[in-house]
Amino acid sequence: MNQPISLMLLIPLITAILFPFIKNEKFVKYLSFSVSVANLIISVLMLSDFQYGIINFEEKFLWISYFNIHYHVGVDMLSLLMVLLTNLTVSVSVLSSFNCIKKDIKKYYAWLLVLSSSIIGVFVSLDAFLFYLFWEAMLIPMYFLIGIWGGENRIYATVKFFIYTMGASLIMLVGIIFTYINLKNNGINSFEILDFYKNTLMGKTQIFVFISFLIAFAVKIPIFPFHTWLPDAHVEAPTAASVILAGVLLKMGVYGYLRFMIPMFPNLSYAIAPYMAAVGVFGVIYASLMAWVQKDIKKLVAYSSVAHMGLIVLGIFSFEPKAVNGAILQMINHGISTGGLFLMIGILYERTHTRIMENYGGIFKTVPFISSFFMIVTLSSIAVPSTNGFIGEITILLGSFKKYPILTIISVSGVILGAVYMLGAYEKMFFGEIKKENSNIPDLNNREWIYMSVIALLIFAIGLFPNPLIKLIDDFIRTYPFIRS
Amino acid sequence: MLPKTFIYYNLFATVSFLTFSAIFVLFYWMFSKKNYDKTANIVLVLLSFALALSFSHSMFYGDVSSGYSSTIFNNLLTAFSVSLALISVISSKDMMREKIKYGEYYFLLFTSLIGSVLLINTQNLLNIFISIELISMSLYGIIGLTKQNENIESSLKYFILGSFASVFMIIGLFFIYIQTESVNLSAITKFYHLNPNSDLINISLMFFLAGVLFKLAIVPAHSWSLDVYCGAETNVVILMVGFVKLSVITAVYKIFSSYSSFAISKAFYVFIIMTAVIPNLSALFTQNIKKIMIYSSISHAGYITLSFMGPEKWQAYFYALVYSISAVGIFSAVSFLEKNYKNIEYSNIKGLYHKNPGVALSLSVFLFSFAGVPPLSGFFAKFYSFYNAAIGGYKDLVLISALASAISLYYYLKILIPIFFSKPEEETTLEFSRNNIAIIYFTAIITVLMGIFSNPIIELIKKTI
Repeated sequence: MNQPISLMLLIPLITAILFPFIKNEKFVKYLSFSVSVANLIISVLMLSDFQYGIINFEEKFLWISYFNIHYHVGVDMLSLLMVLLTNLTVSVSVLSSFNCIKKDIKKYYAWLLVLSSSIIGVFVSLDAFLFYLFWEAMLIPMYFLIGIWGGENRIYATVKFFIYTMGASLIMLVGIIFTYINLKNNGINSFEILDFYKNTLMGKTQIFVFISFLIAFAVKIPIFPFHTWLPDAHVEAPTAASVILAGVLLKMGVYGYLRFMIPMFPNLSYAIAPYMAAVGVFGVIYASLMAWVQKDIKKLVAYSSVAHMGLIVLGIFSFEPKAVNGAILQMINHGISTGGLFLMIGILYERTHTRIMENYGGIFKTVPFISSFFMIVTLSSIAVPSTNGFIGEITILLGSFKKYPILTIISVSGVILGAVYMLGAYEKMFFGEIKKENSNIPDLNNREWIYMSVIALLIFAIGLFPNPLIKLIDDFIRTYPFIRS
Repeated sequence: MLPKTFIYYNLFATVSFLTFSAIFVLFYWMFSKKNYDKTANIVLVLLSFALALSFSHSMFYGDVSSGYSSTIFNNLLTAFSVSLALISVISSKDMMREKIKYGEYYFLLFTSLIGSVLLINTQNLLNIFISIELISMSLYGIIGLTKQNENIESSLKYFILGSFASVFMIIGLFFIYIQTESVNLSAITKFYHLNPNSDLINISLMFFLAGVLFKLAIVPAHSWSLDVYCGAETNVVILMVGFVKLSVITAVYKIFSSYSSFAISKAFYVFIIMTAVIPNLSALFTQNIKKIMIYSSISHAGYITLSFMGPEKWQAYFYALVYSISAVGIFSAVSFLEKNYKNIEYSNIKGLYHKNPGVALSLSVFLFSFAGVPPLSGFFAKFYSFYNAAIGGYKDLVLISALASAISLYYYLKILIPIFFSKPEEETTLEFSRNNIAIIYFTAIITVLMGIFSNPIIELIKKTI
């Protein structure tokens, strides 16, 4: 346990490599579940060992000596929270796919584990090159997960997802190279993220590098004009991939802003902040309106994801400690609640094989527990008090009201729209006349009970006792000097 | 310290052993009553010996005045190109039995390998010319050996266009000799330092480079490669993208490292933009997978020349090593596909993954590596190459290349779609030769490992270059 981070990165990877040699497919399922739970336990233990204010569990080896690239990993509070979220989401999504994945089981779990490894890698890298490596490597498992186990239109979705992300990231690679050369000219031969903050880029190059980072992360979040890959990818992906996509991948963009763009170019970031906030708020409204007219419940949730992320962008770019705190909290909340929504949709889809809301209707009576859990995650998603979503959104709004009162007021209307379309969808699906073909669908089984109660528990735990989590995030914000209050 | 004569002999030993092998194979073919398998096995044995010989020499070094320099690096590169030849022969051995039926193939293979080895070790423009001619002559023969119409056509095309390129090289060589009274690269460097403003040397060197770039298939001198590679047997293409391309890159490297003027850099600036953009765009509208891979090989030559634009040029070698290994792998895979599918277009290779997961996964490794997705070695190669061009001040060039490789992503992914995401149309089992599959797996593993463990390779190149 001296090197918990490497352990977390290696265990899933090695297990995935072993899968082709295991004959028993049931064993593969349980093995991958136990691996993801082991990772979760490791990250919880890391949290209990965490020392505030410094980078914890650092490991550093020289990797490529010419460029002074290190295998350098470590966590601060933000990274650790994201790693926790990742491990939680991955364990839940592994558990959720026991039944619904029927073909190529071994390969499916292998890719899922590789995916989890590379996501953790993104959050723990302290070396920009290593960060980029994991950032891109994550695309390969995602490409196969959506492409092989996805829905009807999966090929279009997966290629679009890959090209969007990788196209933007290649430009970011050029930006990273330019930054490195700038550092090298100043006598710092290093790819350390902390050294990247010391760049002295000027003029056109600075603006280019800034924009390259801005766009690469904006595609991942996704911010308004770059969001079109998301509904496709979400709708076509298998449940587990949707959950991970919504739960963790989208947060990588915000993480990138906090880790790279804002510290590297504080002044440019402050300059662009009002526009980013405006784009974020526009995204909230636009995505909410788009969600409202969707017939496909999964697409609706995908658009609601875009809306939530817009609110998070507003929080981050208000540069108010409170709002940033709320935004990070909301990143976690969104992972839990939207992940929960996708899990519920997956559960329903397994039973009815449809995602069109009109094909449901009145199933509350036949499946009371599914409906109740769906209600809980819906409430969390529309930020009803006593759920986690409320705490996150209210903190963002309170914080950003100081800086952008008008934008905040507009974004509140987006929140209201959220309630409108989510509850409308809920009504369409669960109330009203029951349809014949839906009259005897089975309710939750034990496995689904387990992971949905974990989600529900977290929703209320954070909603009723948010203080410990807010304090943890505050620890990060206190050591993060780029927020001007 | 070893006596100088011995050092002189280490190149001599390799080349003379290869020459002996070439002649021996030819005679063996005749006396074994044209038994293909026996001949091929003998070739493998001989190539392994040549590999051992050239590798054992890599511990020694020396500078030999006759126009060849056997540095440790050159010896290692020699060993590498011999091993590429060995891999190519293993991969194509069984396929060639059905297609080519001639032992002369191996004779010509040895002569082209001799050309490559000489090209790697030379320090002299005349020798570069002769070695390139030797390689080309052998290839003209190899391509046309099957006596199928398309192969003969492509052999003739290659011959005619190749002779034009040779003429250019000769003209360049002639003008260079007139001015500098020497064909040694070191003499040219000296001359350049004495007369930095001479236009004639720029022009004459450009003439010479035009011939070399033709062989490397840099845009605008690339259109032959599509015709020739497509017309040739895929197993012959494996040779051409393997050790042949590698050795031509060393020639460009030598010329660049001994002489690089502003004018030539400017010309290359244009060439690289075209080489990065045009083939990638053309490949988007191509259906045939072999053609796509040829376009991709052209664009990769562009990325390799990109790394010549900076102050240090070892990146080009790293890229060339990575590329040649993966190219041998991918064209082996293409020949595997050709064996099983009549027409290797997107629509025909559905469900390969379900029939042969190993080959499908290896293909995905090669394609992701070519596309530059980490953690595969293609990403590292691209990164080093971009870095070098950027530190040389060609930032716009780096940006354009990055955008071009983003374009290339589309057709690489498109190849993977039918392989992984469609169900096979008919339940036939695929035929394969064990050697071919073994090489595909081997090169795929190397492609993965060369990236993650690129540090020792870089150190070795930098130390010995």
